[in-house]
Amino acid sequence: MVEREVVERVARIARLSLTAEEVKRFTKDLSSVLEAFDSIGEAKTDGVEPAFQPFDIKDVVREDAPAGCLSQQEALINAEQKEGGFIKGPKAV
Amino acid sequence: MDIQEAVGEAKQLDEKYDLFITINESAEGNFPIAVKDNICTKGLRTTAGSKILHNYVPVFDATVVEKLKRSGAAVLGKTCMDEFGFGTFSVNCAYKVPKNPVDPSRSCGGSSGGSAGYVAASKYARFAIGQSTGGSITCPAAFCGVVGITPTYGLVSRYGLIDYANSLDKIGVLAKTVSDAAKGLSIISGHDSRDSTSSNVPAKDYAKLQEAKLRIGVPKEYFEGVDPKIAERVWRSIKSLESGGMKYEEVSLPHTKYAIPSYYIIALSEASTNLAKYCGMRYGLSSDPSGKSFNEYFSQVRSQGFGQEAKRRVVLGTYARMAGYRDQYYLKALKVRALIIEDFKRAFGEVDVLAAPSMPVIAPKFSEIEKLTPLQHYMSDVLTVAPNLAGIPHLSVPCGKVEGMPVGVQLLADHFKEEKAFAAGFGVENG
Repeated sequence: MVEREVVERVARIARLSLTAEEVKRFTKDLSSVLEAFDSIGEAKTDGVEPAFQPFDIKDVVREDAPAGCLSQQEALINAEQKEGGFIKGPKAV
Repeated sequence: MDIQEAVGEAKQLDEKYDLFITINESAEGNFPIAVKDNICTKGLRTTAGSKILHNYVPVFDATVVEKLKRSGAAVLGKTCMDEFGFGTFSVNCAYKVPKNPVDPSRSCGGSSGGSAGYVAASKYARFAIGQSTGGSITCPAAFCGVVGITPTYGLVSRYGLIDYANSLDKIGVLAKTVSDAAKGLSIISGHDSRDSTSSNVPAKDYAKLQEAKLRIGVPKEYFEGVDPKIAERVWRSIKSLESGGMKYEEVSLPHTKYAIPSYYIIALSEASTNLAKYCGMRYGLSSDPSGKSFNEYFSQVRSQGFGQEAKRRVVLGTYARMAGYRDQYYLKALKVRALIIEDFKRAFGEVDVLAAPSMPVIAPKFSEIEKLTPLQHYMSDVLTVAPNLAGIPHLSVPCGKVEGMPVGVQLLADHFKEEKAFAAGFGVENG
């Protein structure tokens, strides 16, 4: 059983402001989903390495050479809040 | 072919079945193609089915779109999908819910529902582009009665894909026939230096491949809880492969029962980090940030822009990765994934292809879907999540009808052995 405070804490971490109704619904959903998913605890995984990918993938690096990129105009085209060629955001400090 | 005729048809089909989020009236090219809306198309709105990207117009084409255009494709439009791919029935879309052309009171399946519905209904399209994280190509292919190929993880570049879960996402093809699916995959596969997970395995011309004599494995766990009428249709295709000269044997994939929790814990953990980038600044939904703190602003935009299922998945995924729960859920799920991959590797030591039902049920009615709980939604993916966790290629091929609705058989092969899945698929199609 997951407590409502846990859902509120998770939402805060995930930067979601949930309504009281959503907190109630997700508390119930999280409880029933986790209860069902607890069955993986039965699987014997001693000495098994976690599979972060379907198979081993090697890190790749590209050559450190200059290459083309978006122009400032292109980079800003999808930003609605902008000023003087910059993206406008909330106050940081 | 006159592309404008295909555009006209797409508009008509959209009025009837709600298949597109955006239609491209000025499409140019030699043959029509529809693309799932989580794949970036230069100058053509790309929303991933989410309100948070309602106004996003990419300034670049995804690699698959670039390759398609180079081969003469005209991108007619962007198809309906569950928001960010979060669903099995395409009902979690911020815009509209695609209806199954075989029976509009039923779902197209998800999350690539619009692409599957379009291929099923169009006279002009031979294939469309879909994407799968946990079954989003196989499910709609089975429900709409079309062919769907989900390739090996890394075979198709994901540059320009709006990601759901990076260790699981694959772009693939929904098509009229096995041969069309093979042609489509040949166009979009191949190494891409812009995607660091893109494979170096040389691309093949899948369209040139033919039927072959294969050893077929039938995983017994994939028939548990399946509608018996569906199981019967699938067995009929397996028998037809046998009469075509292939041998089959029963095999066991013992960790299948853990596939749903393993998949959902991993997928939602990855999704919750991927969705962190939607903060209402560089693109997508925004509001005036003046006078607001960082957290206040981000939380407000995200809460307005994400739908219910996206919020639910962010909450679940964040929880599974949190200190105190990480080992119990996230790490455990990754270890179980290793066991599921081992199951497949062991089976492919004995057989070439595994054959199983694509979905345990026929396309449900919308009135039935409304009654499902989130957990019941997740459980519907029971037959598709394991092949996706393992990143193995799988092909869904229509194999008859139950109650007038299409049924699919899925053919699974080892990593980078797409040709074997296609060969078995030809056998089913011709059987």
